[in-house]
Amino acid sequence: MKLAELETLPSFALLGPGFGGDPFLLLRDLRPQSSADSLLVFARFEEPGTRALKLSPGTASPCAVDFAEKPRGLDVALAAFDYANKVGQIREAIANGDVYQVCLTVRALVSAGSGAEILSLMCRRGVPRFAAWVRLPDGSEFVSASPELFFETDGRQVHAEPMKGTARPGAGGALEASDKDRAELAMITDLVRNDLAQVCRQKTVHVANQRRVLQLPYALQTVSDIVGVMDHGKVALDVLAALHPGGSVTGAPKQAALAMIRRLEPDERGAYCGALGMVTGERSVFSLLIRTAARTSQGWAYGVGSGIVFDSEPQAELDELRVKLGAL
Amino acid sequence: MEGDQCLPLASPLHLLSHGCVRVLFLENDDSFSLNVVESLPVDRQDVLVRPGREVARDRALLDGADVVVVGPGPTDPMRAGIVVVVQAAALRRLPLLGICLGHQALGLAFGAELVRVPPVHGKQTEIAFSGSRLFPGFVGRAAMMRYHSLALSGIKAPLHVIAQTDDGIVMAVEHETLPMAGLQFHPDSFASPRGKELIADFFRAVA
Repeated sequence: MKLAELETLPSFALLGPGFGGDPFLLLRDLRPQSSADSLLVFARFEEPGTRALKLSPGTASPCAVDFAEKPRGLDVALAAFDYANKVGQIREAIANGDVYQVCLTVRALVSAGSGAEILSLMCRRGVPRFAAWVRLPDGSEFVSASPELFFETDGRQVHAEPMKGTARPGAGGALEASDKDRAELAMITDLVRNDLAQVCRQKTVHVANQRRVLQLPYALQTVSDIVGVMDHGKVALDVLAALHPGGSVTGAPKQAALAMIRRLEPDERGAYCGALGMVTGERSVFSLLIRTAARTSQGWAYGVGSGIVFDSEPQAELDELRVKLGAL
Repeated sequence: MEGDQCLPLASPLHLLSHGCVRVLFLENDDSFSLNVVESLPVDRQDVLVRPGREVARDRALLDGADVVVVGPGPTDPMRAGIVVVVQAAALRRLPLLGICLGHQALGLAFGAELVRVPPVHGKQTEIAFSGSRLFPGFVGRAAMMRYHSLALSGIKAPLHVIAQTDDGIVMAVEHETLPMAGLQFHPDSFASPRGKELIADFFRAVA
């Protein structure tokens, strides 16, 4: 299927291999519904998980996609106004005991291009596991190259995989040796344990992997694995309500970090840093919508961010944002 | 657990319970609170979780508890408004374990000062335990996870320091006679391998 054909559809979701596609899954004609066997679930960053949009597709079919062979490069401008000052404010709040880590994000403006072009660019060195192009019934639209598994469920088992810690390809040794990156991930690992415990049987939540490296074409990332056994009566949407917005994109403690984000970031994140999931029967898979571009009236806004801790230096954090721009 | 013998925490009949320990946990807007609850050597249903500020207003909530755990959280114990809870628990001679913010509240209630230290969040540190009444199993070094940028200083009687870092930052305190102790680090973290053992030590000592 040619990607450009999707442009004519009023609503659809094209989902990459991590959602169970082969290699893609195309859902057409999304309709609000909460009781179907197969649901697409979407939560904006600002909305509590309990208010996630639940959509059932008119049709769902596996599909292959013809990408543009040489997608044209896009004009991308990072808008990091007053960034060093914001990092300084977060470091002072940390020194004062108010917060432990804040995920600070900025937007890169992509001046032109269609969803098909952006997805082609994002997939040119291999399809990201949670690649997605979604147009909702209200006409809003986003494209994601997320490598981050927010969480998945299978029967009563739940697994979360927060991502924190970034390096350029080839800098794996430095990443593994970095105390700062280790601490950023450890903090969010403890936070996700806490959030999962809300919906799990007591004393079943544990850390299966403290730290492992994921290799992406443009970056190395570290993740941890936290697993648990869900309480009787709990379903994937309850897990979403407990975990959203994901700790890896808020910081810790979550409420204090969210208060700082509201103060420091001029724009809502919207789809960026939100959650996108497929619930099918007893199974579900949710991606955390990082590396995500949302269509705006001025073009596309691609979000990039990083966890600011007391050891953060503004220049090093900006370098990390540029590594993440490499997904485009 | 089906058929458990414990009565609801607030019941005036709690003395009739059969060996269960009822814990009052003070929650202080943290994202690690449930990790602490999960690390306690009791069933979750025997833990009453209440906002620290609410217990500060309604100290009668302390009356149904066998053990009070003052949990971690951001800001400092004065802004969080929980120092009065430690004072009320001391009057009732209730066993109290303070963790992070709760540890700092215990210190402030007994005349210590709170100072800024180089912030350490999400990092494991070797801590030297000097041996104590309420943690008899802990003498020598153990690795524990730290999340703090403030620390107690100027500890004086009736509190004394029972653990510190190699650079002299206070990591744990204990009361000379009352069953009260504080831990600056997070025994609840996945990166505190002996953390649950430490908490269990306290519960055995005050039981």
